[in-house]
Amino acid sequence: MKIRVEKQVLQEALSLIQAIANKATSEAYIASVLIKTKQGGILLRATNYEVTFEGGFPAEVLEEGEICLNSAKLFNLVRNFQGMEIEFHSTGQNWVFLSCGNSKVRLPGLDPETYPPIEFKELANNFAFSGSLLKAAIDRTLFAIGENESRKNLMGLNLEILGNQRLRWMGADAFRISQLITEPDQPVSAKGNVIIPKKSLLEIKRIIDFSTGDFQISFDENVFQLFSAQIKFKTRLIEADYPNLDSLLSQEAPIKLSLPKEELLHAVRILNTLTDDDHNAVMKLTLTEGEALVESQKLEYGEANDRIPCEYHGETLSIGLNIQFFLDALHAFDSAADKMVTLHITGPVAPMALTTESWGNYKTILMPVKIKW
Amino acid sequence: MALIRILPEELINKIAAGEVVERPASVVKELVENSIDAGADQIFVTVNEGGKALISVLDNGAGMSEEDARNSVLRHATSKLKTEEDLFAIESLGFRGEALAAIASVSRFELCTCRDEVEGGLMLSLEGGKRPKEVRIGFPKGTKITVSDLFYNQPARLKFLKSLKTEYHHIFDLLLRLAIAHPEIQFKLTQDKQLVLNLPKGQDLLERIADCYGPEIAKELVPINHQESYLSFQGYFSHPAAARSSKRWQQTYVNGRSVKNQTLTQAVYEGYKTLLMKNMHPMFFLQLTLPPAELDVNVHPAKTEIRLKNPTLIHTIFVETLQQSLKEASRRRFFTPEEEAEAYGNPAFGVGEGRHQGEPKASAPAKLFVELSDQMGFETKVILPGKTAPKAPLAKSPTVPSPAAVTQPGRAVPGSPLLEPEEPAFSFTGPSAFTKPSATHLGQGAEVFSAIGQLAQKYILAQAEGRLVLVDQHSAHERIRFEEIRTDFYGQKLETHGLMLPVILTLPPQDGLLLEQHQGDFAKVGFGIEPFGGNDYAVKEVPSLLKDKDVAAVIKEVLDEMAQFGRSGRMEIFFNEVFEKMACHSAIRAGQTLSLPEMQSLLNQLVSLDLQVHCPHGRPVLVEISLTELDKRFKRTV
Repeated sequence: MKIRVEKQVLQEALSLIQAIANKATSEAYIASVLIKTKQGGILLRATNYEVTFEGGFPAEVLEEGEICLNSAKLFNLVRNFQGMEIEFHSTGQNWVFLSCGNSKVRLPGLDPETYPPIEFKELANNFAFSGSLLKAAIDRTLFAIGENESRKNLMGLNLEILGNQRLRWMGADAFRISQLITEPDQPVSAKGNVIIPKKSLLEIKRIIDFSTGDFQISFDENVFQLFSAQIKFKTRLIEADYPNLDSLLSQEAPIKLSLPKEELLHAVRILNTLTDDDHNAVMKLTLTEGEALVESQKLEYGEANDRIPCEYHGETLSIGLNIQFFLDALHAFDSAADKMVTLHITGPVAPMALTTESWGNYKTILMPVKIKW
Repeated sequence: MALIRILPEELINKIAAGEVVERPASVVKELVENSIDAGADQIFVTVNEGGKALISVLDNGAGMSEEDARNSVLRHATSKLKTEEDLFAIESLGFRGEALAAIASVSRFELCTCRDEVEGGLMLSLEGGKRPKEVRIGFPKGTKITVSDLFYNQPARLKFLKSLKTEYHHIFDLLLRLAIAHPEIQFKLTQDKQLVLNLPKGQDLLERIADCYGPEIAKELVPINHQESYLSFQGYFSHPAAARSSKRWQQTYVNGRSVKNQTLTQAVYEGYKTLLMKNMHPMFFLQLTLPPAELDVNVHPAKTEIRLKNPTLIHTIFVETLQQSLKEASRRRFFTPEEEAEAYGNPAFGVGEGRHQGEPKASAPAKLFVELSDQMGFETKVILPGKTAPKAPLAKSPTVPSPAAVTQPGRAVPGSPLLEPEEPAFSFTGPSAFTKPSATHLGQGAEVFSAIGQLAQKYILAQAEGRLVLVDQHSAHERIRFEEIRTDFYGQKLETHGLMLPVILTLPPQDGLLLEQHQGDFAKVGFGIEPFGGNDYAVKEVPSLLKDKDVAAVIKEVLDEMAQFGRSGRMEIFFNEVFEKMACHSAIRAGQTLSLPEMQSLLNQLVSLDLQVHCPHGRPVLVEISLTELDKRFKRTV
């Protein structure tokens, strides 16, 4: 095989697969990338059996063929090459010669014939979806997805096809839920739900950032696939039943309180700084006549409080919240145009919801912490 | 014809022998225990060919009358039990009256005994428990029993015996255990005409341990002693740094009997808690004395298992005493008494109440602090002169419980929700007597260790009087952070996090019952658990600190331990795991360059730690080399 490829193109392509082609593995192929010529360019393939990637990139093909090289090593070499164009020339003995600018490298490869076969299938549930919407769905739900191995069904993003052409994207752990409902422009010919592993979502985000245009989404009960014009990606799904959280999501809270988003965010950030990002640290939100008081009380860290004027007219009410969880939830509203965020409060130990006016289809729910101060 | 028959006496004895006489070492155990019960202070054991050919035990005990000697080889003949009540208050090692009959039935047996030298003695011999022969003989006061050709009439059992070396090893090990239990008695062991063990009488326990297991082991031991009417125990425990990878140096004696008891062993490990490295085991020689009615030894014919009447109470007292002993030993190991007084008695380093003695009067800055705090809406916690200082929220180092504590397990530590006296189900030992470093702490007072420099950006070199001290900077800071975090935690009210989706636990009925009984105890540490029908329970709230753990596994492990021991130390272990992680992440690392003042500050903080010289994972924090040892290496002294 003999090809010429732009350094920038290859570096970007390889950066997409670094997390997939894992370095610490006993199987050399998992740490490798397969480069194969195609008409007008090259195909890059990587798999760790859980997640599989195939991307087409422009290159000048001088001689057809395929090579298989250690992905991390190739990525680091490419990053350090000084020239603009890299030439690959492989020999029959699985040696690959690279030249870029003044640098010449001879790299041992693996036999590409024995690289695990990669297959992308046509799946029954199939629809087109906008990349920016997909990225928004991930951004707004990723933080709430659980990491506790004892609840495997919560370790991924639940994508559910609702009636009326609507898609529900939901992340939850034992203490919070984040839900976004989207209404795609194009018809969705799919049904059911899938749980996409949290790790794969990070890969998907990278692919969306790299690509332009719409994506084709398809899934069955085992696999979720994402195709763009340039890239094919598939991940195995979490095979479990996602819990029904509708009762929590549909609860109407008696208190709806709008607070200025930025002020609230800054107040919580101050508490977070004070508690050294301790992920167990707790804050208290106290509502009194015309005012919301945000305060921490972890004596060894010092103390802080912030008073935010608001339209509250009722009995004094205090609710304890995990600082990190509250901050994550507020950050998810970062890109919303609204200046206000609405807290839906039922009581000191009942779930609290957050919404904004312009994002009527997005809701986050936090379980409070029982506090005794 | 009836199929069910009463077995002949001979066969009954052989069946009993199957339980009592498993191998030659069992014979030695029964005979030596008889000698101890007979009040002997000299016991000589002779074995040939690993005990298969000959076992002989000679003692200078009370001896037996002729009639007693004849009865002794009959089944269920004993001088140790008279009434049924005696069975529940056994003070002797033996009591079943089975051993001699059983041994005699499977060997050539000879008994020489004399109660009164003026009256003369009797020799009684039997073969396979039959054909008793009697000869009057002259014999010193005491008893000698000779067992030859063990299992000669039971070839099947003979086949099950291991090599001579293995059988001999069992006998030797057993005799050492018996010797440790009775350091006042002289023990001699002769093997194939060679004297292999001769332990003088009248030794104390440490001398006996040194003679049995070597002075190197004895040197690593820390004494423990607790005396009261209900329960007393004494013994020796290895310093955490001397823990071994094997459990062979773990010996427990209850009322002079070598026993295996899970409650006591578990209590030992709980006492060490964060001081042991993974897969390392402490050495211990523990002698426990209880009123005979407080334990049941009639669990198995071998009598190595016992049942305690009140395991929870013994567990509580023992854990506290052990922790206290280990702490004291740590201080003694690194400080001379003068240094200790300086480090712990000096008000500048004050611990607990002593700290408030030199409290300055309310100064202008103090007033300003109060004013500013009030203005800014913070609750002021300054103790102004004339007012009573609140007690420190952290638990003081556990002390030996008073008789009152004996009747009510648990600790009274004001301000700490986990350590309240009415909280008996989970044992929380709390942090050590830890003083947070303050300006006075670091600036003034005696510096017990004085920093010299840093080695390989990993170890701090320091000098103390008469020795060089090497401190692992990461482990040391990790321990300091661990104690700080733990102290803060125990000083607070616990926070409970509601679960969005309850965790449903399915428990076996007995565990469910236990959970319901202790629902209040679980609630105190932050678990909200409700019955969910049948054997299911819904966990609706968890302690904030344990929110990332597998809740179901935590509760199940705690219940398991509670079912076994009546209370559980697992809960604290789960909390400690979180603290360890937090401590490890916030501690300085190996590879970090430290300035001399930083090193000195770390050393001073370490001194304030009650010298818990292990990191929370059990790795040692400091190693010392004495001047004597250095002199030896430089050949200044021989």
